[in-house]
Amino acid sequence: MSFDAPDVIIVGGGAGGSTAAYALAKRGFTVTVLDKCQTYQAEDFTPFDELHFASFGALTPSPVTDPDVYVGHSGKPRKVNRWWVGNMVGGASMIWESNLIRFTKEDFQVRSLFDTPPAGSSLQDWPWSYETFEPYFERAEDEWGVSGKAGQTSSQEPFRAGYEYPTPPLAPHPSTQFLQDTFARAGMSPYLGPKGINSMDRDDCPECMFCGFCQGYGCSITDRAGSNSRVLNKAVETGKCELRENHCVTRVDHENGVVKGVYYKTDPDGPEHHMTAPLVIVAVQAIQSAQPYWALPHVSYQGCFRSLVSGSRALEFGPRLCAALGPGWTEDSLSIATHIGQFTAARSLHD
Amino acid sequence: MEWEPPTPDGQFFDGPSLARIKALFSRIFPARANEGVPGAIDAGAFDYLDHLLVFEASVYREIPKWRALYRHALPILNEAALHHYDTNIENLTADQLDAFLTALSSGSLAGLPDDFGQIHFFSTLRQHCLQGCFSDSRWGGNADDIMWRWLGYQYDREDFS
Repeated sequence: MSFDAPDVIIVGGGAGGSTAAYALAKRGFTVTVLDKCQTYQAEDFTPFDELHFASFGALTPSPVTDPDVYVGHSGKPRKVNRWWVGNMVGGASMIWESNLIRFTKEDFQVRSLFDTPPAGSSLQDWPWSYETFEPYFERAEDEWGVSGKAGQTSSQEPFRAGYEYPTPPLAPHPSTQFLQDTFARAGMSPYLGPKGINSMDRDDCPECMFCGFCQGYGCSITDRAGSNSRVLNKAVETGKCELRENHCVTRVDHENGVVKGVYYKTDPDGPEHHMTAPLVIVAVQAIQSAQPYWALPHVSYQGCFRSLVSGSRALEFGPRLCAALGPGWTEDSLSIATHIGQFTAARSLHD
Repeated sequence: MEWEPPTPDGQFFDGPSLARIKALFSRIFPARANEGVPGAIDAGAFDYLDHLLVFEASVYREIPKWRALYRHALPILNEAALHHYDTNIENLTADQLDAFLTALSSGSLAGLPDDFGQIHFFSTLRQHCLQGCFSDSRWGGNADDIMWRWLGYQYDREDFS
């Protein structure tokens, strides 16, 4: 086994990359995970401090040195703080609220939901169905330790008969009953959302203590799932997976339309290094993952990006369906409109 | 490793400037003694800002910009107070400060250069006032955790009349 010539290179040790690393390592493949950041431990997120961790953005990439560049209809580029990404191994999964809802049946058939596709978009139905994915949802919910309850209301996605989440839902918040009643009166079917937050001790990770420093903060006791404490650690424990920190992938290497490996840097001012593998998985969020492929022939993501900046709510569904909890922007105001739950919300409205 | 808060090292404002910040903060988050609510003065929110502005950009990237902003804007704002009320900001009455801040917050304070950025400066001032009131006292404000005691955060709730 050689980590210099692994079977698989995974770019990014976040939710997607680490889950893939664990699945592949369990099946005997050698895996090298390249992550441009360093690993944080739970205690690094203490003492709790709103200014340092949240207001001063200590856990998210700098909009100066590591921004998204947003171009609205004005055409003028603006650098944007990617507040939904963590600047550490584990990425967004280290600072998220861990809302782990499944995609719905409708998410897989989004093109078919429209009589005519929105102008300028490139919506597609997925080539797979909800049913094809269902066993993998169940597996991910087990690996990530999701707390929740199946079959609460008709607005939830369908579950296999007899299926139940690994642990029960979190204890309700004092406002939960009020919200449930209010939404029910409006004709909706609210339910307690599944979350990668422990409602009881599980494996080596304790029950949530409801500290209040959740989304935007690191979890100080690993009760909230992050890729480090749920899958990446287990992948490394197999002996088949290696994590390389401070390895920033700059380009995907390809020849005749076939990906051969990656180029990376370990120092911003240093030389580029090269690494090859028969399989390369790029898992660095929706937009960033697409970027290295721009250099590849015969691949166009133009429609996806156009719909992201369209400012029309209907069109924003396009990329978001590919990226659960992905943010969207409204027109030129730069106000962030994150929509949680994809079409789950729409289904609640119609039930 | 636990995160180590930065240790305040020196102060940013000179005496008159700090008095002006103190006056402005006193009306951005005023105490309401009859309701038991402590204010920005009780919390020493101005001390928070006085210490914050000395920190390096490594503490927060905006700090150098804020230094430049206060250096530039505070004297101009004081000129406006002299122009309207014939006295420095720190000598304005509560009612005068309220009118002054209300105009600033809507960008309608007369006598300022067009490129002053009134709304931006007010929102920065307000943000720093509230941070100085409610942030962890390690940062130099929220004296004796007074706002947390009033809110009942980490403490039993108290009234401050």
